[in-house]
Amino acid sequence: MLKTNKVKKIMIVDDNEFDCYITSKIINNLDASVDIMEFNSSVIAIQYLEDFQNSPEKLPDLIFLDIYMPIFDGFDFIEKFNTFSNFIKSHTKICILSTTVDDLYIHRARVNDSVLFASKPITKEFIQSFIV
Amino acid sequence: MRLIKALIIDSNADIINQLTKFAEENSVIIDICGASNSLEEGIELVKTYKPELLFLDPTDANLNSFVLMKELDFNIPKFIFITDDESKAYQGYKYNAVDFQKKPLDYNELIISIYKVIKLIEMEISFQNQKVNQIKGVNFEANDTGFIAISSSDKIELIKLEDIVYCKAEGKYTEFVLSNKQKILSSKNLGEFHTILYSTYFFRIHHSYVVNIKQILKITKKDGLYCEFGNGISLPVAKRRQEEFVKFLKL
Repeated sequence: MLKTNKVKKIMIVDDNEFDCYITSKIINNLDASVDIMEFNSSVIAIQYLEDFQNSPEKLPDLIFLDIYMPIFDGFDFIEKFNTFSNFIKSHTKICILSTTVDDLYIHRARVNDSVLFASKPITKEFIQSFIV
Repeated sequence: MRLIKALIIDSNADIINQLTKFAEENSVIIDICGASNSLEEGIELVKTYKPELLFLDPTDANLNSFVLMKELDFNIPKFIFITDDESKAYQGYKYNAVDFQKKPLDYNELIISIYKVIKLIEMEISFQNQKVNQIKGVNFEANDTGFIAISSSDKIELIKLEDIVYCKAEGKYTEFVLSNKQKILSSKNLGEFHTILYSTYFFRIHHSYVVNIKQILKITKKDGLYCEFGNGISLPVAKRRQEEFVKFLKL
C-alpha cells in the first residue's frame, strides 16, 4: 500500500511512555537511520503538525497513533488532521496502533481507508513493509 | 516507566552476556540483578532480589527445582524460557512461561517478550485493584449508615459523614472539623477512624489528616499539593501520598 517511498521519519504518538519506547526501539533495531519523534502528548503532537503542515523537512512520513489517550484521543487526532493542508495529507500517512480489545474501535478505525491499522506490539514484518 | 527486575538462570555464558548487554541497552525498562547456573543455586538470589522476571534455561534439573518457587513469600516471577529444545514448549505452557526464545537471541524478539511480561503484570495489578475496590465498595455499603458515633469523656455524638470536612490527628485524640465550623474531639486516635472512614470519598492525605473529598473546593499545586476547603482552610498532601491521591481522584 505504501511501497512507493522509503519511510525515513516516523512520529509516534502514545501517552504510554513504555509503549512509545517499545515501538521506537523495534523500529530503530531494524533500521537505525529512521528518524523517530516521540510524543507522549497528542495535543502537542497535533500542534506540531499544524505548525509545520507545509514544511516537508519537518514532517514525518508516517505517524503511529495510539487510540486511547486522555483529553484528545486518536480519533480526535485524525479528525483534526483531516482539516490540515492537502500537502500534509498526501505526505504523511497515519497508522493506528492499538491494544484495543473492543471490536467497535477496530470498525471505527477501518472506516477510513487512508488510515492503516496495526496491533501492539508492532511486528518486524509490518515495519519492514515501510522501511525496506 | 516500570522497571522490570530480572534474574538469569542459565549456565551458558553467551546467553548471560547477550542478556546483560540487552539490559544495558534497555536500562529504562529492565534491570538484571544477577545470574546463576541453576535454579537450585539461584533460589537464594531470587529470595534476595524478588525479581519479577526470570530468564530460565528449562533444563530438566531446573524444571525439577520448580517446587522451590512454592517457598517464595512474594509473587512468583514471570518466566521467559530460553532454549533451542522446542519440546520444552510443552513445559512452558505447564509452568506458565510468558514467552519462549530460541538461540541466538534476537533483541527485537526479546523486547516483545519484555512487552508481554510488562503488559501481563499491569493486567494483574489492574485486575487486583478492581477486585479490591469492589470489595471495599461492598464493605462500605454494608457498614454505611451515613453516620459516625464519636465518643468523648462526657457524651457520644452522632455526626453525618458528609458533614465532616476533615479529621485531624491530635496526639492520641482526633479532631473532627465539620462543615458548620463545629469541632468535635474524640478520644480515639485517627488510625482507628481511618478504617471507618475508609470509603469512596475519604482519603488520608497526610499522617495527620483524613479529608472528605466532597468538601474540597480545589486543589492547588504550588510546592506540592494543597487541598482547599471553604472557610479558607488549606491542608497539605504529604509528598509520599501525592501519587496515590492523584490516582484516588482518578486524574
